[in-house]
Amino acid sequence: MTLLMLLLCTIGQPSEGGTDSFSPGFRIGFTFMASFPSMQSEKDFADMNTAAGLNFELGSTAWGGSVEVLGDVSEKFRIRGSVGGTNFSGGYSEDYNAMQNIFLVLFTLGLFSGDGEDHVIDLNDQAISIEAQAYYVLSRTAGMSVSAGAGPIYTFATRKLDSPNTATSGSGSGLGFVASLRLDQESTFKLGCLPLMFGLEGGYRMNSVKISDEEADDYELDFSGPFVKIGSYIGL
Amino acid sequence: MGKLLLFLMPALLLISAGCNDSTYPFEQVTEEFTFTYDLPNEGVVDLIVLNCYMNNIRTLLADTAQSSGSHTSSWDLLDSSAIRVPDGLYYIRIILDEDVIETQMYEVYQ
Repeated sequence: MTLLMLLLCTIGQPSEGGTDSFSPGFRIGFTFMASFPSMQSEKDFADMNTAAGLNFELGSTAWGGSVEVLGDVSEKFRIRGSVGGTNFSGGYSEDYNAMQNIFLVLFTLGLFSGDGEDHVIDLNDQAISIEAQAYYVLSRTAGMSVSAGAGPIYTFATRKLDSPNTATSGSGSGLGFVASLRLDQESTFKLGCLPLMFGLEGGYRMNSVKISDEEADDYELDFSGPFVKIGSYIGL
Repeated sequence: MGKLLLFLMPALLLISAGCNDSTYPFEQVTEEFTFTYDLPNEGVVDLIVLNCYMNNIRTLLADTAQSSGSHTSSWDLLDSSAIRVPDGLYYIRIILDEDVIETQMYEVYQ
C-alpha cells in the first residue's frame, strides 16, 4: 500500500498551475485490483481435498481489473460506475515426468514443451461485477483529492472445477456493498490533449454469491474482503 | 505432411499417456465400486458421499455399530433419489462416533 502511494506521488505530480478550483467533468479509466476474499467455502473445499490426500493449493488473493467512469458532479461529490472482473483460483498439480517432457520436446523439435506441471484439478472462480459508488470529497488541494464513498455492487459469478475427465460448473448472482477511500492525483502528463489522472483506492467489499444450480444447493462464493485498486483515468 | 505426422505421433502418444496418468491420488470410476476403510476402534459409523459442493448426496451407512479393523462398502454411483450422479468429483467420508476419520476422493465419469 505504501509502495503504491509512493508510486502514485512520483508519477502523479500535480499539473502546472495546479489549483484548488473545481471543474465538473467525467473521466474514463482502467484499474488493476487485488483483493483478499473470504472464500470460506472454497477453503473448506480445499481442506476436504487435503484430507483426501491431495496437496490442494488455494490462492489467497483474487486478481482483477475494471473499466470505470469517474465523475465530479460538484465540488464535494463524486460518482463512479464500473464493470470489472475478478479471478480466484486453486488446484492440484503434479510434476511432469522429466523423461516424458524431454521426449516431447525432442519429437516435436521444440514445438511443444510442458510447463513442468500437470494441472490435475483446476478450480476457477470468476466474478463480473457492476459497481456504482458515490463519494464525498474530504479534501481537494493542488490537483490531489481524497474522497470516501460507498455504493452497491451486483455480481455474476461462476465456479469451474476441472479434473482429468470431468468439468463441473455452476453460476449465480448477488447484490453486495462496497465502501472505500480513494486518493486521486492529476498528472503532469497528458495523453494527447486529454488530462491524465491516477487513482488509488482501498476499501472493503461485502459481496457473496450463491451458486443457484440444484446440485450446488446454495454453495457460497464469498468475494467479501479488503481490496486495493490502482488505476489511470483520462478526461472526457 | 505424412512424414511430419509420423514424426509427431510418438509425442502425441506421450501427451495422451500423460493425460491418462493413473497415479493420481484418487480413483477414477465409471461404475459401482467397492472401497475399504479401517476403523481404529469400534464405534458408530456413518458413510456419506459428498459432491464437489460439499453437499451430502447419499448416505451409504447410517448410525451402524462396527468393530475395529478393516471393512468394505460399495457405492453404485446413485444419489439419494436413486439417480446416477453427474460426472465430477465425489468424496466419501468415513465418520466414526461423529468424527471424520477418513476422506476418500473419486472422479466419477461415464
